[in-house]
Amino acid sequence: MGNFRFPVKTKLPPGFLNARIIRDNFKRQQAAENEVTIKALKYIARNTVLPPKARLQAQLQLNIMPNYTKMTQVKNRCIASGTARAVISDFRLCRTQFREKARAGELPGVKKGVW
Amino acid sequence: MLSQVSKRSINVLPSVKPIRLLTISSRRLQSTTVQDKTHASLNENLNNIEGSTVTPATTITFQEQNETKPILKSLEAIYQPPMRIPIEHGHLIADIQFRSYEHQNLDFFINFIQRVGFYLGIPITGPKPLPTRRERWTVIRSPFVHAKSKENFERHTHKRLLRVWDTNDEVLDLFVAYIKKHSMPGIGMKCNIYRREPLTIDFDKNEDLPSTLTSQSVDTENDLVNSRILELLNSPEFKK
Repeated sequence: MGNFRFPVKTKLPPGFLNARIIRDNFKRQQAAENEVTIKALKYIARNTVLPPKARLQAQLQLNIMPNYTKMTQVKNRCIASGTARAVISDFRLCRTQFREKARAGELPGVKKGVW
Repeated sequence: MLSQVSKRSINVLPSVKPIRLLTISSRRLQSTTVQDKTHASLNENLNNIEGSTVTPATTITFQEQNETKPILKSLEAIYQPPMRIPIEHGHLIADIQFRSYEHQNLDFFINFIQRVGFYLGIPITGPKPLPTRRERWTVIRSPFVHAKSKENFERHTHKRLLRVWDTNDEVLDLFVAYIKKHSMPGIGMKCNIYRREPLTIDFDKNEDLPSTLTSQSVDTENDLVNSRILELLNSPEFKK
């Protein structure tokens, strides 16, 4: 992943920036752009009624598509620190950032749990 | 009709409370009289010293006035739970759900809304407390290792349901607009409105039911994919 190039120009995400965040955001934008094409190609490739030549062609085109166009490459990251581990999806924050913000009272309604 | 209903329900409700209120106010007045007496004595002393004539305010007459003066009904209602208008026809018009992370503000706001409903002549039932949603997160305290020490956080979402009955569309719109205008920060609101339509189909003639499909309910995403599939299949690469 060290030598990742950005083949297409995309917009930068707002907020905290980080090489990994920019890369992930690039993948998200590309995946969204190519979603319809990938779905159509998959439909053609997997439809047994269609002629085998067309199905093979669709599969070939799917294989040619770069990795950054696939949804499987997208990973949730913390919006405040860029960490990819222990991200709480309710707040899109990693555990340390979540704890700090919750204790500072920056997350509405979140309190110390007592039960 | 609106004024009649409101009048009736006002009369039905007991109006005993003000006695207590008056006792409190009289007690307060007594305390003030004591203070005023001291003031008066001070003034007298001052008068004696300076030799001028200053008339101290007479609080006893004020107290008499207060006892004879009736308290306004609307003012009296503040000290009582919100009044209700009885349901007459049993037509459910709307369900209004309120949500908040804190129940104090929520209950206060709902109390206000019940009063608004009463003065608009709307029969409202509730507030029915809906199950509180409890979200909990357990995170490791330290940023690195020491995973045995954890910290718990939670968030409670309190919900209340108000049901609106027997109301015109115009009055309901006014009601909702008023609530929106005076909404409090930190309180979410969801309004499900049920509208009745006249039955225009003659079932004996086997007429078709009107389509419930609207422009919004058509799947646009599928259309996009379908058009792309056709485009791909008609492209020269697939025609080889």
